[in-house]
Amino acid sequence: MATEWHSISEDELHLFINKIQDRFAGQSVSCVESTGFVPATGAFVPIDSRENAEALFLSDVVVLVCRRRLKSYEEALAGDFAQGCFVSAESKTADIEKKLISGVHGPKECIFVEVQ
Amino acid sequence: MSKFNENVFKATNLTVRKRAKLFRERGLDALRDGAVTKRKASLDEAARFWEIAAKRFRENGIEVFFADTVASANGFISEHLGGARLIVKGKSLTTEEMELRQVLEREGREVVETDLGEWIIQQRNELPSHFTAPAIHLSAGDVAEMINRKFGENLPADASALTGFVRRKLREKFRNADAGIIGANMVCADPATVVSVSNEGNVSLSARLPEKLFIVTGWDRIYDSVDGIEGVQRLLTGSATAQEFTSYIDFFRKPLPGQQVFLVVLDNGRKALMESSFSEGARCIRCGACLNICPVYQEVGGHTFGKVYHGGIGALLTEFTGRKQDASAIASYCLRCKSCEPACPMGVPIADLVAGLSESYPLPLYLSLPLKWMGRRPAVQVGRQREPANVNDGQKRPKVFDSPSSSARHHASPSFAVFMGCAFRTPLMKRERKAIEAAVFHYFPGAEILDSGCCGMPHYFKGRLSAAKELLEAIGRRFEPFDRVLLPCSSGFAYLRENFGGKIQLLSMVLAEKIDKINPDTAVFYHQPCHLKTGQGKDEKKVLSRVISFSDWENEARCCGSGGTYFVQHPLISKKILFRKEPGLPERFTVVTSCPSCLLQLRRIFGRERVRHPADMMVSFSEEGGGQ
Ligand code: SF4
Ligand code: SF4
Repeated sequence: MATEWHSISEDELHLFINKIQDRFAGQSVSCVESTGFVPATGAFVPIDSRENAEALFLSDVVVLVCRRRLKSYEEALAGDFAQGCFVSAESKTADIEKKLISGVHGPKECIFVEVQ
Repeated sequence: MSKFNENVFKATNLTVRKRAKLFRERGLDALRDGAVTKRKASLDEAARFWEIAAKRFRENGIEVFFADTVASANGFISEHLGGARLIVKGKSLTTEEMELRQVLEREGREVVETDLGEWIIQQRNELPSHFTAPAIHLSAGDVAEMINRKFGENLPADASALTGFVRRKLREKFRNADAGIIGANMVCADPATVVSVSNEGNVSLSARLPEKLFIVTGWDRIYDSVDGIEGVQRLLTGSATAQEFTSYIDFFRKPLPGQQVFLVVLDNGRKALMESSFSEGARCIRCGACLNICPVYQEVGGHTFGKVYHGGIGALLTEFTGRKQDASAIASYCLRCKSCEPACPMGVPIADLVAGLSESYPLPLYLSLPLKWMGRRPAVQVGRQREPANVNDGQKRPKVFDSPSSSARHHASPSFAVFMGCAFRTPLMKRERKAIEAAVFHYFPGAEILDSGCCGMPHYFKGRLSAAKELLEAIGRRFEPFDRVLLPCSSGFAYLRENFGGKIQLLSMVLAEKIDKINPDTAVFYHQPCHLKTGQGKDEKKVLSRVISFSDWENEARCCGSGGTYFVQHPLISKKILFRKEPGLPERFTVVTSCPSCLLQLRRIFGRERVRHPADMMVSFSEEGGGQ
């Protein structure tokens, strides 16, 4: 599964991330806070520095922490941010013979964690 | 290399199926009206919204440059790149139109296309062959061969291995680039926001790792506000790649700390397009759905049917942003079949726009002469019904052909006419003509037969608009006294109905209301004429099903490649499209279609007896008609 959705409590978050790091040992894992998410669809991440962008797009695995539910990503656009990205899946392509391949330039795994 | 490309055929068909599933399951069609309204409202006041957007972007620290021409856009970028040597670039059709990469390379800079498909075609020195899938024409084998030859690798023809190679290769480029160039799918005025959709992550990386970012977009990409853009985006990505959301939807409002951002807005004919009679084409959001479904594109791909912009819409965009000769050549490949129009999320009437565009293009003699011949007689001659001529061609005929005074004759409504159109007066359609006359005589007594005219549709779609208009006016005058006019030709029906509304009806559909179920002696399949797909009479099959039990056929709605005169203009392509109809039929079958042009085309592969007009079929097998 290149994209996963999990639902956990705040107390479990630390342990959950540790487990992800164990599961993907040897690969780079980053953990990014979103400011809002649309369940089973994606999460909005504001980007205000180059480092933010690197965490979101250059790791092998990205964990997106989701705390605030949105009806649609348009709700997030009402907020103030310099740049942002609505992420709904891992980096992927179907440019060669329409075969779906994960991890073209960005993360091969995208894990959404809904924190209750 | 053959101009036909099986890779394109397979890939486009796969996307068409996936897109249909997504739209069905997620109800995306319901978003269309709102999205089109938003797009129209935004384009109607593009200048005002650009002014607002530019002011706010500038306040936010983004430099905005409006370029009238390609030269001025390229000049601005080149100047502001300064000493930048390595540039990473995202996919952007506008920059293809500008030949920006080539311009910068000539200046001695290294420009790396970072979208996988774009990177592949850059290595092959080719243009993209599709709006959203630039390397759609290539197989994994083609890509492996290129990489192995060019980079001394020994990779298998495996998409995963090839993608992995490019990932490793481009990582260092992203990290070391001096500048990034990306395109924009939408620019919103309030709050000023650039929106860019992608899957690979290359847009995000090209935009945010280098210190300088150039966002290049067209004057027609403007939207009033961010409200409702999600609907447009879902239609865009759903139509383009059968995804309701791409992996990444990037938003840009201000530079990141230490970053310089430039927004370059190109006109290059876009304003002229928006102010012209072709303005509906400016709504195009470059999703490529019209390419995927286009029977011609599916066979030949974008290098034949296009240049920077492909397909029928490509002809229009090229006319305004590129060279007229290219536009005329691209337009010549368009069948005017309208297969693409129901797929367009922005409701662009592509075939009509190409028809209008063709007005200024020369027609070869082998097309202009038949058109003259078709239009030479008065549009309509009127004849009272005659008894059907004795059909003495040695074939067994149902009773209706020889018992016109049968007590079973029905009463016709008053003020009722049948317009035969030009196709049924050719010797090739003699049998159908007789069947239709018999059906009219039997089921619609008192109806007038308006004979011998051409409706002007062939003239219209070949861009002979004044001839088409004259024919329409003559027909309109002649139709005036009648409440209803029936046409046996589905294409003429669709065309005239668009012009004269509900009084124009399809003969087969009206006839089907009067005839009981028939029992033909073979499996019967329905061929859907393309012009019925766009709304007018698209339920013909449903109505005919009351009388004829159709067997399922996966190729039912597939274009036959006839296109009136297309088989003369592009015989090989027409034939290639036709052969796609072949699979899926049993040994004994009959194909029914109400378009005479499709009927003649289908007979080229199936033979005369296996392809029939519905009126012929219904009358021949009806109990009342005598059965067979
Ligand atoms: S009208 Fe037919 S041939 Fe022309 S672009 Fe549309 S689908 Fe293709
Ligand atoms: S004409 Fe319509 S279907 Fe074709 S690319 Fe443009 S928006 Fe998409």
